[in-house]
This record gives sequence, structure tokens and C-alpha cells, in this order.
Amino acid sequence: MGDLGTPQRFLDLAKQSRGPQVLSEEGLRERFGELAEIEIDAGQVWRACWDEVSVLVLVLAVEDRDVLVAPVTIEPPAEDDRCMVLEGSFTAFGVAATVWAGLTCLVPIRVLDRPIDQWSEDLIRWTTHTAQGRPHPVPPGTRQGQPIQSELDPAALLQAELADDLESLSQAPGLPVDTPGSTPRDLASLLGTSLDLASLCSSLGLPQSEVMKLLRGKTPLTPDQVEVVARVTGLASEKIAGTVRRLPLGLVIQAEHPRWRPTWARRAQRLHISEDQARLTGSYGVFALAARETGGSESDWEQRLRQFLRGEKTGAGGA
Amino acid sequence: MSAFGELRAQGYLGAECLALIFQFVREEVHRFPVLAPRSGWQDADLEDLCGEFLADRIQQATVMLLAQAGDEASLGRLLRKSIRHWLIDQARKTAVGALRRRLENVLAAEDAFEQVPAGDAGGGRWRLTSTSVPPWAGSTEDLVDAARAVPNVEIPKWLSTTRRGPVADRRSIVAVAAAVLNAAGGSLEVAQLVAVFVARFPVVLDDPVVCSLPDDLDNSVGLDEALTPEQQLVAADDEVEAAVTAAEVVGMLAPWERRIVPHLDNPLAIQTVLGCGRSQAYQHARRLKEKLTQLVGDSDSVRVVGLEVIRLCGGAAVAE
Repeated sequence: MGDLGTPQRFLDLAKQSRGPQVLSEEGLRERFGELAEIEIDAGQVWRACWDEVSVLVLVLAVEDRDVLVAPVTIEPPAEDDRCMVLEGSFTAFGVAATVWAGLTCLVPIRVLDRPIDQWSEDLIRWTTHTAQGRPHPVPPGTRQGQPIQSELDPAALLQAELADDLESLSQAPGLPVDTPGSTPRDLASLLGTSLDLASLCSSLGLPQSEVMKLLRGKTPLTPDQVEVVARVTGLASEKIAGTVRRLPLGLVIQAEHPRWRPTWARRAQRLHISEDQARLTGSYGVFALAARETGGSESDWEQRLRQFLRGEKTGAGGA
Repeated sequence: MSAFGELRAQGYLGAECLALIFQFVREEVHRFPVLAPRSGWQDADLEDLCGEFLADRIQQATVMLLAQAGDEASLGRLLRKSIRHWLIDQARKTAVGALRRRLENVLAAEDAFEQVPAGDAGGGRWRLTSTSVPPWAGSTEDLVDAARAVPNVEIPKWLSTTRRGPVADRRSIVAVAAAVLNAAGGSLEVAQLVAVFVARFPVVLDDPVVCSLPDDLDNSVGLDEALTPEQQLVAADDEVEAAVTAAEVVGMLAPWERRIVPHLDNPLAIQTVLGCGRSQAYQHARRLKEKLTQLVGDSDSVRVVGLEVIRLCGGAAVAE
């Protein structure tokens, strides 16, 4: 191997170990339809990913912006006594899978990436009960996990890695959402008489029209811009960051739905920014467009998103 | 084509994925000196090791990557993690084999134990000499409790720099095996005894990463002026012994373990030192505490040795 190339016996073995067809792009599309049409539901197993973390999760319950999930592992093999180990024939995987009820937690919907499988009600029930500390007999075709014998057991490390992965997912940056009764001061009113427009334009490297949007809280300040404004004005970064006008919950729920992730990813690639920045600036673009057309009243946000992104492609939109 | 693209297109691991596996095996295996052949790793050895990994895990790894990898980078991270954990399992398997051989040698050589004659119930099992007991059938946990109750178990000096340390000294192994057979009230298979010893001495399966101590470690011992000359002599001897034991314990720790010894009660500092997440920091602390407990043992000087270990690892040895 190495310089001599891959031995044929390895290639043959790999070919004989083909994964289930249901996990291919075509197979997933056949089972779940187009990503744009998918509704998140309990019992679905999703690939959840953000930054360098990628985890399979079983959805137990769906909230506005979060899902209650238990992580699922296939490889490396490991378990604890709050796990359920499923036979391969019970899932799309075709090999044993382990659901970690003891690590059940909320993660934001925005980290869901792709539905992979759909599990039955009895599996959801067992996981939910176990997560709540209510013992429940394991369903047929499954077995309860073995306890971790010692902190030196490799399963203990894998369990900790999984917990850290879930914590990373839970901290994936989200959109600032408007809450009833909260009206943040915009940057212009925060700066008051100390506002020096020319200095801001030059420090931020932006034309006056863009700086005006920032001053009115109509476009979000990036973390770098917050620091620049703080340095120029002498105000605390937290105060500056709090001046951005927050987005309506309906828009946030739409923009953070996994059906939009491929769109944000493409936008990020095109603009050479991160996925969360692409979503943030895009969402403010949608909000600004809606405000111009409807005065900021409730909108069909999905339609607005499509309209904005279509306009951006043709050069008619933009944040 | 990338390894990820190849996997998505074919539905199985192709040449690119297999090349990645070979690269990761080559890189990761050096973390496990216990797996190294005596003549060092050659290409043929690594190819064999890759073959073993594939034979063991290829189906599960293929499915996991198809389901979990979202791009080339995540495929690489997931594959490396899979290989690393498989290598940990291999290292532990070699340790179980070594433990079994060590136990069989001690049982065969000691008069306190005998094998049940072939033809009798439980033929081939081990029992206490001159007892007539049925084959044991019960809870392993009870036997582990009996093993844990044996006092003054000592971890012997560890001279090798490439091989795993022994589980305990011969006297301790005999004492623990006798206590276990006594608690069982029956004869035991070697595999059952091995299972009890693994639970009692989990450190024996731990990554045997050996490192040498710096030459300039300060092992000086201070003496209390208020003691009589005889008391000073005894105290000095105790402290020297504790210092030597502590140095041996430190020698059994991996470099990264030595770095976190001074921070065992400060997971935030461990996070910073190791660059890991919160849960992993807590787990590393619990794991290392358990390992130190095993290595330091439960002798009278455990506290002194423990403090000396902390001092040698760069921490302030504060008596509490």
C-alpha cells in the first residue's frame, strides 16, 4: 500500500461492504422528498452539523427554534446503561446503532442538516422515558446498553466527546429575535450628539448609505464592526451590539429551518463569508425588503425569503 | 475525485477513502507503542493493520460515513476518530491477553491454587487448593468487590519504556486471586478471573504511553529539625521511598496526563491545557484520578506519594 497503491483485496472488500441504498442521495430523496419540503418531526433521525461537529440525532420533540434530541452512534461502538442498542434490521443503517438517552438535550433547529432515517413510536417512547429517568422495558429488536465499568473505559471518553459535540451544536450562532416589549435603541440614538458620521464611514470603510443602515439598526453589525465602532466611539462593545434591530420570530423560524441551509451555504461561498453570516445578512436583507414593501407588518416570510434571494441572484435585491 | 465525492457516488469506500485510512492508521498507530512490532513499523505491518481494521469495521464505518459525513473535512475527522478508537480497542486486547498469561503463570506456580481435575464438575477451572467446590455461577460484581477489599495492593516498578506495566506485584495478585476464589465459594474459569482483574485494575488496559522523566527533577527531601536522629532516619527513608514511588508513577503517565495533574480539580484549566470541550475535561480529570488511585495504590504513604506526584508534575503540593 502507500506508494505501491491500494491492494486489490482492500478494494474488493470495500466494494462488498457497500452501504444501504437508502442512505444514498437518491434513496434519501425517495424516502423524505426534497429537502425544501421536509417538515421536522419526532422519530426522525437527522444529521446535525455545525463547524467541525457532525452528529446523528433522534428527534424526540420539536419546538419553535429547538429540537429535543438524543444522539445516535454507529461507529465507533460504545454504550452506557442509558443507551438502547438497535439491531441493524430495525433501522436504515443495516448495522447496529446506539441511541444515547442519557445525553438527551435541546439543540437549535438551525444545526439540522439532512434527515437520514425515521424510527418508530416505541423507540421514541423508550428514549424519552429513559431521558426523564423513568425506566421502561426496551422494545423488541433492541437491548439496553451495558454500563461503563470505569473512567478508564474508552466508552467514557466517547461519551464525553459526544456531550461536547452536542454542546457545540447548542452554541451554534442564531439570529437575533425580537421579543415582545423589547425595543432596542438604535446606534444613532445611542451615539446621540457624539455621532461623527465621517469618522465612522472611514473607520468602517463603508459608504455613507451603508453606515446609515447600521445607525438605524436595519443591517446587522458584524462582530468586527462592533469592535471598530466601540473603538471609535469609546462605548462598550455590548452596548453597540445591542443596537441592532431584532428580527421577527416568524422570519427567524423560516431562515433557521434546515431547508434553507443549502441556500445559505451557497450564499456564504459566493460572498466568501461564513454560513451564519450569510444567514444573518440575508435575513436582514429580507427584513429590510419587507419593511419597504409592507411597513414591517407580518409577512409570508418564506415567500419573502424566496423573493429576496431571487432578487439577489438577478442583482435586484441584496442586504 | 475527493474521498467524500467517491463515497457519495459509489456508496462504498473507494481508493481515495482507503488511502485516507492508510494515512490515518500510519499517523495514529504511533500513539500506541504497545502495538508496535519489536523491529518497528514496516509498510507490510501497517498494511496488515489496515487490513485488520477493514475486516473489523469496514461495514460500520461505511454506513457511519454515508449517514454522518457532510463533506470531505467531516469525513476525515469521523474516519480518524473511528480508527483511533479501534486502535485503543486493539491495545486493550493485547493487555487482556497479557493479563491472562500472567494470571495463568501465577496460579500454576502457587501452591495456594489448583486446577479442578478433568472429569470432575468444572474440570480445568481454578479453585483454592484442597477445596471441593462446585463451578461458580453468580454476579461478577460480588467478586470485584472482594478483589477491591484486598488491602495494600502494590504496583511494581515499571522498567520497560515500550511495554505495558504489570497489573500488580506477584504477592498482590496471589492475595487478590485467593480473595476472589474464597468469595466465589466455587471454581472459576481463567476468563472469569481475568474479567474480575480487569474490573479491579482497569489501569492495566489503559494506553501504555511511556515517557522518561527529565534528569533535573528535584527529588531533594527536607527533614524536620524537631525529630530525633532515629525518627529523622525513618522519616527520610519514608520520604525517599515515597519520592521514588511517585517518580515511578509519573513515569507511567503520558505527557498530556502529566500536564493536567496539577489541575485535577480545575476542569476549566484542563480545557485550556488540552484544548478540549467541557465534558472531555471532566472525563479526563475523573479518568486520571482513577488511574492515579490505581497506580499509587492504597498503602500508608498514599497521601505523601500523591502530593509528590503533583509536585513532580509541576503543581504546588499543598497538604489538605
